[in-house]
Order: sequence, then structure tokens, then C-alpha cells
Amino acid sequence: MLYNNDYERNEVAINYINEGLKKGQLAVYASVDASDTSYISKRLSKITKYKENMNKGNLLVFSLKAFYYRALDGDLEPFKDFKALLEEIVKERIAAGKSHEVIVVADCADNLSRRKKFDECIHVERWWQNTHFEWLRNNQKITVVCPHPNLILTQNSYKRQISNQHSLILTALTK
Amino acid sequence: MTEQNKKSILVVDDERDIAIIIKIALQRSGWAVKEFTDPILALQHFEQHSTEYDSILSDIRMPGMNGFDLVRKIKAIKPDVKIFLMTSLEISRSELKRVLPSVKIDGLIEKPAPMRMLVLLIEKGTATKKRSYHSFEVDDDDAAWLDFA
Repeated sequence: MLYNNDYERNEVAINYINEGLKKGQLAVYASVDASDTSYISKRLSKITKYKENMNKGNLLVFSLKAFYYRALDGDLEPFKDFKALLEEIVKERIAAGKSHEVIVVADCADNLSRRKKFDECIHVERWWQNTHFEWLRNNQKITVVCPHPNLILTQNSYKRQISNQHSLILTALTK
Repeated sequence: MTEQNKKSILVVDDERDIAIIIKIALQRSGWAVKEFTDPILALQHFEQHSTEYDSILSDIRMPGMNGFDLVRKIKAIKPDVKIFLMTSLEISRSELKRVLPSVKIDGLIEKPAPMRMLVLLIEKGTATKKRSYHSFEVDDDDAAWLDFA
């Protein structure tokens, strides 16, 4: 998801989360800034009934800070644990009669793009894309939305390379 | 295998080197340790020797059976065994409980944790004395933490 400013990024990310919750999906908001209380409380306040949804296990919010620093070293181990966790949650939700569909908004690659760590970003996105294909093969409906800064990618000629690691490219429209 | 007055723990990690390093660190702190790299063999062993163990320490991602499944099966055999999962995720025990209610664990240890920290966290998590605090955080570069209820 390509955005032109922070407002667009935040609004569209929350829209995806709210849409997912509305459809009964598990919504995961995974952010490098999740441990920043001020940042995350602003985001959470825009999520529909966020406390209730968290308590019911329909909304999971967690930090990608360690993911970011380890991705800078080319280490994707935390991502693999994240994948294992999501797959386990889906199994448990199916057993509980809940929706097996999951929407994930994750901004680790976005933070890499914003700091112009493009090779590291592509490494992460390639892993997500391979994981996405694996989920498709296994009929697992887990959608991952990765925001990216349109201008930075365009100015640095990385837009195509990063777009190539995605199944679908969307431009954020907040209006 | 358990010696008198020694706490005993089953360590399960598919990476042999890690399992051995953890085993040595815990043994040095007075634990009786049996390590497995295959979670299925670990479970079979536990089924026959459950009375010998106070605690289990397991990785999450392992071939054959993941740590979540292992926890469910171990708890079904011995509900009062203390269970610790190692993960690279920054997620609290309460958050995990909300999204995975069937996986009952006593602590999450964030990887990579220095061995002294891992041992400390397990020691604290298995202490029989009632604690006055609800969470324990370690200020360390490799920030490992354990969440107590």
C-alpha cells in the first residue's frame, strides 16, 4: 500500500483493521512503534471497540521493534515465529467456530523503506511474499498489508523492485 | 533421573547446539536436565516420565510438532507442570492467552536471551514462594522477560 504522507498511512492502516474486525476476521496491528505509548494509543483510539476486541482475542497489537533491528542484520527469525503464531491462532479460531480469515497490517518494511534500507526491505518483502504463496497453497486466508512511502521509493528508484514483491499494489486514498 | 532436592526440566529445541548450551547452563545452576531435539520424542519421553519433571522449556518452531502443540499435550498429561516457551516475538503472556486460550504457559522467554538471564527467568518462574509483583522485566541489551500472573 503506497502512501503519500503519514496521515494517509495511519488512516488507511486503521481502515484495514476496522474492516477486518467488522467482517469477524482476526486483525493484527504490528508496528515498529507499538511500544511507543503515545503513538500506539492514538492509533488504538481509532480502532473500533479496541479494548473489547483485544479482550476477545479478535485484535492483536504487538511490537515489531526487534523485527526491524534484526532485519537490518538480515535475520528474519522473528518473522518466522510470527508466521507460526498466526497459523496457530487460525487453527484455534477455526476450532472455536470463528472466522479463519486474518488481516495483518505490518510496518517493518515500511520503516526500512523510510530509512532507505532498501536491500533489507526487499529481503523482508520477499520473505512475506513467499509466505503469502505458501498460505495460498494451504488455503489459509491471511492478508498482509505493508504500507510504503510512495515518494521515497520513487525518488530512489526502488518502487518497481519493492512492488515486484507484492501480489497487489494499492494507493492510499483517505477521502 | 531426578536427584533429591533438584528441580528437573525438560528442554526441547530442534537446534542441538542451543539445546546443549541451555542444558549446560541449567545444570550449572543445579537443575537436572534432559534435552530433546525432536518434540515427538520429547513428548513420548514425558508421557512415561511425567512425574520426574517440574518444568518444560520449549522452542516454538520445530519440525514434526510445534511448541504450541507440545504445550497442549504436555499440560493434558500433567496440568501443574511449569511451561516456558522461547520466542523471538515481543508478546506478553496475557496477549498470547487472549489469542491462543488453549495454550497454557507460565512464561515466555524472548530470544535471544543470555544464558544467565534464561536461567534466572526460569528460576523466578518456578519459585514456589508467592511473589508480590506481576511482571518482571530485565534491563538488558538482549532484553529477555518473563510475565508472571
